Parts: sequence; structure tokens; C-alpha cells
Amino acid sequence: MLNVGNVRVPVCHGATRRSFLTAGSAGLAGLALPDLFRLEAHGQVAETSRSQIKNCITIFLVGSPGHLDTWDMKPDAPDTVRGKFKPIQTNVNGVRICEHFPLMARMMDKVALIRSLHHKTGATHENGQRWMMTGHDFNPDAVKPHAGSVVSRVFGPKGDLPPNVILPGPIGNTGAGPFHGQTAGYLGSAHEPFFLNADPSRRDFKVGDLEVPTGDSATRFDNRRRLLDQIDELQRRTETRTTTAHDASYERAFRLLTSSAAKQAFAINSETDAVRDRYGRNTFGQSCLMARRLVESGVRYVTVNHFDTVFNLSCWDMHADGGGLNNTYLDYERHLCPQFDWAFTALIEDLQQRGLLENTVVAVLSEMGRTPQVNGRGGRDHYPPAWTNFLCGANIRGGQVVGATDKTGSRPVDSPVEPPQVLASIYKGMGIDLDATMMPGPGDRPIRLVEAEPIHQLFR
Amino acid sequence: MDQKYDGPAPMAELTLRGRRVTRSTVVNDWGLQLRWLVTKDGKPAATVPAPRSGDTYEHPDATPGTYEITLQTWRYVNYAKGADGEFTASKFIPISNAVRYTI
Repeated sequence: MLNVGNVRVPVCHGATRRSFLTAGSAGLAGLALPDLFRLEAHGQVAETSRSQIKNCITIFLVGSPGHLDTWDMKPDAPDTVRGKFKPIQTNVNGVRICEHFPLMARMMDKVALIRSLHHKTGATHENGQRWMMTGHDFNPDAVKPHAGSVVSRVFGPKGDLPPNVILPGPIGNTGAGPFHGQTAGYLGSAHEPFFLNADPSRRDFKVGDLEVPTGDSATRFDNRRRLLDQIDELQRRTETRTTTAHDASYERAFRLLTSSAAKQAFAINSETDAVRDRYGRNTFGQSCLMARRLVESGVRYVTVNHFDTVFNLSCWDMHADGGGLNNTYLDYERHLCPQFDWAFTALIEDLQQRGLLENTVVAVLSEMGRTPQVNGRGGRDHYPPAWTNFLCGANIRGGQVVGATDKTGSRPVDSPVEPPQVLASIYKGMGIDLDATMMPGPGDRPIRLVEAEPIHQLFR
Repeated sequence: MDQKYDGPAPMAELTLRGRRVTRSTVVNDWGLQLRWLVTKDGKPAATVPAPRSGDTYEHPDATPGTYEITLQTWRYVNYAKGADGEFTASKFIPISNAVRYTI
């Protein structure tokens, strides 16, 4: 098998028609071509709108930072609530954030904080991941697609690069099952995210899925392509089921393998040392730099996962449990906050200097908050009733705070916000008219991209 | 995947004017916490966070003695901690020359 992104392309030996069909049709649930053409005829996927849609970079803080220790501090609360860190004034009058984000404090005029996020489902990482990345609760019978897959389905790619990329790789074990809201779900394999599956901070970094296997010549590669085209033609003549999704998957796979633009987009080693240093020589920092390169090269939706697990490593999930989840305030102070502050501000400055920030929504999201009471071990545990995320870029009006929590950060007391509203706001920031744009639902009936209204206060 | 910080070590150049230390841009910056290490008469006197929002430091203690200042960065190896809550393998490491002055 030849792996290209997430698409397994059968090779000459061992490729039977049955296995080819199985590989190609796995996960299919797209619209029939006539249905797609009908939607386009009704202007619901207008050709002109594709070129006007802005980009999105989502940074997903896997493990979830405590809101009381980062962006919604309560310095006047009892010491069992306020935690160890102190707030500092930012360049927005009256807005204070954690002392360990000094660079971000200088650019809060660009950032819109949402301090009143909450959800009412279980306090697992996975619930929050699915809410924030799909806008929906979990339904195993109709797995909802990642927002980037929605954008891929409705607007398609801009060029040879996939429209939806996730860096540096998929979220793995976060404790409660395999569904993290980062698949195309019922939209089918043609709209699966492209996972980099490599660490761009490594000296030997390369995107393995863009490399033709060693020993394969261009002739053998072309021969395989011709064989697949022949099998495809046979299938079209003998089958009645729509194969739009698998055709698109293979087409995308071959475009990636042969596109010089794709190879150049991922060539992070072409950046100067000064730029790479400014983002931070670590997986997260270099992934943020890669995200800038990708939107610059035409990728519509990039997600950067800050961590791919919560177990046995330094991450935001500060239970301080003395075991596999033993993150504490020291991890925040020495590792996580400086790393985030350095990379996030580098990304915003870089996007702005290149004229990309006005065309890119940057969303920093996480699964939930952390308990207002510091636990008996000096950490905080999961807490969905309140947390803070933030947006900037595009036509997001920075320098503001949406919503507020009570004196202990326990619950929203002003403008409570639910996860689908954040996704609706991201779509609106990208220039998508949610009232006029539809997508196929699980049963092919057209539906809205997300069942929520944007937070109108966020926009200029 | 856990993060590995095994590439070229970060480096910065310190210069001294009076008692004010200025650091250069950190090359090969890991992006982790920076701090100033101050010794007085050969003994550790203070560790002070060195936020990236600034590049200078002046130690407030003006009592007589010989002061030496270096810049350190946190080096993450793993998240393991001892019973006292402190990291066991990860630690601060020096990344600059030392500057000295005597009061």
C-alpha cells in the first residue's frame, strides 16, 4: 500500500477490485452528484464565494488550561481559588491576564476573550474536543465532521493543497475513547483532514506522506496511476453507487504527491533561523510556523494540536495526581505558558506583517476549564461549567471581553456562550453566510453548517 | 508524542554596563522559561524570571561584593517529579557567558 496523507492507495501487487472498492468507499456518505449540482444551481455553494472565504488557524490546547490561572484570573478570591499566579495589566484598559503571558499582554488589543464558555455534558476531554471542533454533541451513528472538513466539503480546496490540515498529528489517548472531533465523520473520506504525522521541529523533519517510496521510479508511479484509472473506469461502468468521495480522495492523494507547491508549503527548513527561533524550537512553535506557511500557500483551515495526549508528559491537564497526570503550576510556569506566549505572539505578528491576519481567523480553543478550588494536591481538575477561549484576526474586533464569570470563576454570570456559538463565530469570521450556506446532513438533507448564531459582539 | 529538546542548545550573549545586564536575542530558542542566575561572592544569591518582553536586568542588591550574572533556560527532559514536587530530570541550564561586577 502507498500511504498518501490518510489515503491508502493500492499498488500493483495485491490490488484486487474488491479491496480497491473497499478502500475507496470506506466512510462514504457524500451527496450524489446530481444533488450537489442541484445545490450549486440554487446558489448554495456559489463559485464566487469560494474565493472570498477567509482562512482559519485553530490552536487547540489539548488538556485544557485552567481559566483561573491564565485568562480569567480572580486575584481577590480566597487563596484556595485564586491560585499561585498573579495577573498583569495588558495594553487594553481593565483587561488583565496571567503574568506568564507578558508578550500576549502587549497585543490584547488584537484579541477578543470569551470568558463565559460552558457546556453541560460530561467532564471528559473528548466531550470538549467534539463540542469545540464540530459544534455538536457526540452521536456514534452519525459522527459529526471537524469544522475544517465542513469547509472542505462546502468550499473545496484552493489549489493542490488539501483544504483541511491538522498539525503535527491527530489527538491520541486523552482518556475516554477514540472520537476527538477531528475526522470528516459522515462527510466521508474525501474530506478527511490531512494529518502531517511528523514533528516539524525535528532536524530530520520531512512529510513522509509526500514522499514516493524509495525505489519507485516515476515510470512505476505512472503505471500505478494508469492501472487505478482503468479500474475506476470499470467500476463506473459496472456499479451504480456514487463514488465521488473515493475519486476525490485518490485525486487529492496524487495531486499531493506530484505537486511542487505542496512540497514547498511544507518545506519549513527554508525559513530563516531567526524566524524559526522566534516561534520557538519546539513542536508547538514550529507547528504554528507551519500553519502560517500553509494558509499562505492556500490551505483554508489549519488546526494545531498543542499536545496529542494528556498522559505522562508536561501539558495543560494539571491534576497534580502524582502519577501519569502529574502536571502542576511548575509545568505552567516553566514550560507551557512561556511556550504558548512565545509561539502565539510570533504567529500573530508574522501573520500581520505578511498581510495575512486580516484574512485569517485565529482561534485558540480548549475542552473546558479547571475546578475553581485548587485540589488537595495543588492542582485543578476538569470543569466544563466555565472557561475562557479567544479569537483574533479577520474582522474580529480585538481588545474586548465577551461575557464574565462570578467571583470564583465557577459559572458564567454575563453572556453565557456555548461551543456551537464559537464555531458559528469562526465561520462568520471566515466570511461564511450561515443563513445562505448549506451542507449535506447525515441523511443527505441539506442543513446549516452549525445550529447556532455567531456572537455578534465579536465583529466590527 | 512528548517534546524533545535535543537540538543545538540555546545561546545568548550578555553585556554589562555599570550594573545593568543586557542580553542578545536567544539563538536556537526553545521558547521555555528564561531566568537570571545571580551569585554574590561565589554563592547563589537569586534567581529572577527573565521574561521575553524585556532584555535587560539590574540586580537590586547594592551591598558590597562581587556579583556574577548568567542567563538560564528551562530544559525539559520529561515531566517526572519527586516527592517534593520538583522536577527530577528537567532543569535550568546556563545559556550565556557570565558577566561580573564588584561593588
